[in-house]
Amino acid sequence: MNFFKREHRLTELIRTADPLEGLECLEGEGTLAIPSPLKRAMRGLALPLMALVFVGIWWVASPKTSVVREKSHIIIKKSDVSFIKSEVGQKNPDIAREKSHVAIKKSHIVRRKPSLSRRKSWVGVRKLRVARAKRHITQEKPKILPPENRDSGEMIVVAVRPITPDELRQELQTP
Amino acid sequence: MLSQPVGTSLRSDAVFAQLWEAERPRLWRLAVRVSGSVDAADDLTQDVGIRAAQAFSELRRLESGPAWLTKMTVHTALRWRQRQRDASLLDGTFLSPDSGPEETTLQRDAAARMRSVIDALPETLRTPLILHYWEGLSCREIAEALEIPLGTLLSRLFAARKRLRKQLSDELL
Repeated sequence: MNFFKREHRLTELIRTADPLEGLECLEGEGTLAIPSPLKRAMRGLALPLMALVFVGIWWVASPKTSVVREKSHIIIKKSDVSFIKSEVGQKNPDIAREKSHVAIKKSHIVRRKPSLSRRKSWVGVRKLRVARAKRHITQEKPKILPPENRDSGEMIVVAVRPITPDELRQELQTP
Repeated sequence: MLSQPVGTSLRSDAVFAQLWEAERPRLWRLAVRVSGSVDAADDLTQDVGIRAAQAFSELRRLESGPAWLTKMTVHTALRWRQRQRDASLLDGTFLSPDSGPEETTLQRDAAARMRSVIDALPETLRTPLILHYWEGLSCREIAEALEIPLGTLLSRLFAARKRLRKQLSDELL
């Protein structure tokens, strides 16, 4: 148990040790009596109910709520004004159309600018293509081979036949 | 309610009767708590009533009437308790009224033990504790009633709690 819990428990214990806890003094008598459960329940409810009523009254009467109410009125008025403006705008469609034309022209001007850069890039691409083509040409060039020896003019034909065991013996016997 | 203007003469018996009727049940409970006896509380309240009626003309401000009666009751009950202690008549058992059926035996035992521990405290610690936790008086009111500085009262309350904490360490775990 931590410090605060222990202190709270101690306070609770002291309070419950009160000999008159839960008892009430009868009016005019010097005797004690346990109050009826209904009365006790009412006592328990009285404070929260009072607090609730107090909060309600405060909410209704507080200046903050009136300020909020005024603000909401202002917002409503503003929305009315914007609604009126929009109505006025609807009545003047020519102005709106002109405005839209101006906007389109502007967008055209904006669109022209990238064409320049596109052209520039096209030049770059062409250069690249030329460079690639040049590389291709250099790769396709035939290699210079060493000249072949065509002076003998003899053709050597080699016939392959399996060697017999007798021939092999003769070959081995010959010095 | 009392409607006497401040600063006027308060010698009227009717005004005192009104004040006394309004405060008597509270003073009786206070007498029970401080003295620890229901039988003695009746006599003590009566005694306070008689002395208050005699000295009522000396009261300057009617607003301080309840505090004045509280102070008188506390001092009367403490004097009675001191006399009982001197004569060894105080048996050390606090008032234990018959509690409701819903109260468990465990709670009753804890409360009885706490009562006995509180009763064993010295009067300088016991009275502020009772007035604060049982009677629900504020520290300023208690300091006024006991005629001690506020700082002294706070240190006494702290000391009383410290002693209780020490003696009831098992139950606080």
